Amino acid sequence: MLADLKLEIGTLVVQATATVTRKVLTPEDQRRMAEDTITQLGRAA
Amino acid sequence: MATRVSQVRGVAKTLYRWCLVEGKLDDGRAREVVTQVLQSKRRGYLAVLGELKRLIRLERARYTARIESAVPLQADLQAWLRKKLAIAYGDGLSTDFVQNPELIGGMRVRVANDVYDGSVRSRLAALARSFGIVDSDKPVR
Repeated sequence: MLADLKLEIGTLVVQATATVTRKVLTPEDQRRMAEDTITQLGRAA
Repeated sequence: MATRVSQVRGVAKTLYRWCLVEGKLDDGRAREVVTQVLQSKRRGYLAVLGELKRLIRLERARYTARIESAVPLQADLQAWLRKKLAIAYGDGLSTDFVQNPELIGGMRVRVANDVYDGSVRSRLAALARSFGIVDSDKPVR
């Protein structure tokens, strides 16, 4: 029962986060995230 | 049957070695090899070509970086990324830029077995796993 509830809440949280994030991300945010990944790649190499 | 499979693999490996020039896959040489095999029409040549294709695809994957991003990457970011990849993997690496809105934000870089994932989707997948959602690789809407 509790486990089912946790799953249901988790699914809702993930879906809501995805929907909101998709809407609020600006081109600048997208660029910053891409820069972060490139920097991370440079460190890992 | 097993013998036939191992024979096909053996022949394909030999053909694959003929496709190399100074240890690197050469497109022109590979075309020549495939043309000759097609013309020869020796028994089992289609199976051999299938295996050869697999070997070539594996080799290509080693020297290709697949870059997926939620939105198209600006030219300066592409250039910066190419530079970083060249430092990490050498100059012979080719890049394949793909737009993938499923990532929601950020990007994912794959070179052979190495994956650098800075996408929003991967972070949401981690969040889903923390809730015990097993099928967290499913695209989130």
